[in-house]
Amino acid sequence: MLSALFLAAPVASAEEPAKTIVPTSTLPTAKTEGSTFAVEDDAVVVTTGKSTVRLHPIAAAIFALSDGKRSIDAIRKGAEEATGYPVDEPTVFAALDALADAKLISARVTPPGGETELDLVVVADGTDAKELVAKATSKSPGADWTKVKASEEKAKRAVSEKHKSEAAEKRTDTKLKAAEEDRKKAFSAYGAGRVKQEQALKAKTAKAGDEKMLGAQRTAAESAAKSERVLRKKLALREMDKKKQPQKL
Amino acid sequence: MTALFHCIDDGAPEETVRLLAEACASRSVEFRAIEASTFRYRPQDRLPPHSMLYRPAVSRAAQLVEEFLLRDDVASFYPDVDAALFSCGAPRRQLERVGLTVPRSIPVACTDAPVLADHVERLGGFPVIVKIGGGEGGIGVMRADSMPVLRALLDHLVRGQGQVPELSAYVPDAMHHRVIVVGDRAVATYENPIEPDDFRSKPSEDPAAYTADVPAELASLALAATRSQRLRFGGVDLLRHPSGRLYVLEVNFPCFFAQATLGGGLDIAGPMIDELLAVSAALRTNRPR
Repeated sequence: MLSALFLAAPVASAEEPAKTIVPTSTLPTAKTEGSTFAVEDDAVVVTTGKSTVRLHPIAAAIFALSDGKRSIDAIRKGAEEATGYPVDEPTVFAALDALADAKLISARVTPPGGETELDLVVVADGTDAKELVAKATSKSPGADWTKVKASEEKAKRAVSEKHKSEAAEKRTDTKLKAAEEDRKKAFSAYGAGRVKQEQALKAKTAKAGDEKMLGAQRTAAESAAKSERVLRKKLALREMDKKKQPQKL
Repeated sequence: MTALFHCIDDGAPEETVRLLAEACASRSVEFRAIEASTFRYRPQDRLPPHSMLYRPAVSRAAQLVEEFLLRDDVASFYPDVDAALFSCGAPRRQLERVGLTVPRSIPVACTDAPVLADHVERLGGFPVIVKIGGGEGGIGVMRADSMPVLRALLDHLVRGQGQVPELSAYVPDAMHHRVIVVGDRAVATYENPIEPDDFRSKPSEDPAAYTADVPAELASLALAATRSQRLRFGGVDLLRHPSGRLYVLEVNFPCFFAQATLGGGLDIAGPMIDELLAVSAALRTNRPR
């Protein structure tokens, strides 16, 4: 958007700031002669000779719209459309003060106002744009303080809600972690149980094998004993038969 | 129980005291005048709880009596006692701090030519206003139209008298509005046109220049300015430049509110007493003021 504004460059003027009584009918006229412009992210960097000035969006839009033909109200509306920020009349005047201080306006439209946060919308290059833009939009001089306060309250509420949400997320995370721990413990216990059970089962199987083997051994032993008994009986019968036969002379 | 209104007097304008007394009488409020110069500062001189207090006098003696009498249970135009005891030492900076537009000003403690030239450029060029504190009715406010005049003035004030005057931007062709704030309302405004052969303004003698219907843009600025000084009553001076830009000059407390009654027939004392009665009632029920 700023690039588009700067394509329609303001009327060039090389006049020096007024040194005598401030003119009252002058419409703002940007000084562009001898300057180069570069749009960098959300700011416009104006280089005139060795001097470099960074204009943040509101100031950049007001600068671009200061063609010596537009009224203050037209500039205000144009700046709102260009930046998307609400821009009131005191903001336009304060930005024009700052532009005039940076010698980017051919003549002051009004006598300068005191120090305001909006002085920061026109600054030496190398500043943090986002922070300054936030200040510029929340600290407009002469703003409706009820609205500003309401806006600040809204922002505070939003921050509070965000904190609550983060806390809730944190709580959820903690619960989840606890649940995971519980699950791991449970699985670990289950795993141990399974191992134990398996070991028990194995032990049981082993016992059964032993019993089987023992049984086989017992059977074998019993069988062996039975065989032994049969053999012993046969042997005894044979000895008895031997005693009943007559001796041969 | 009869409500009590205490008025600290020490050479306050007669009309001011009379209008306050009349407003009290019409509301069945007992009016008690306290003479600052003969005040004794005894424990028994303290005010009964929920009394109302206003100091229309500007003398140091009157201020000291006010400081002695103010308590948390006394109704006044200060939001709390701290606001009275820690009075604002830098009212203009405080106005700037809350985002209100004041004419740019720079304190001057030297007369070096390059420093002065830089100051003048920052103020938008000549003419510039040179102001020394303490005066009333425009006394102590001077205009320098050129560097020779400015240097001569500052030589006298800075080098000769050891003062630190303020240089401020001159707002040409502006209309000076006085807006009177009582509580949360701007109750009156009137114009102060520039006198012939002068650059300073005086209250209009035309009753049509006085109105209780304060334009919204003046009212909101005046209320914000009064609150910034931690006050609930004040006479706020605003300048409207032909471009429409509004500047806050200062908040006067106490202020000569009688001008609105005498010049334009507007009742200010009545709303003042009503506001103090409301504060007193809030104190009785421990509600916030």
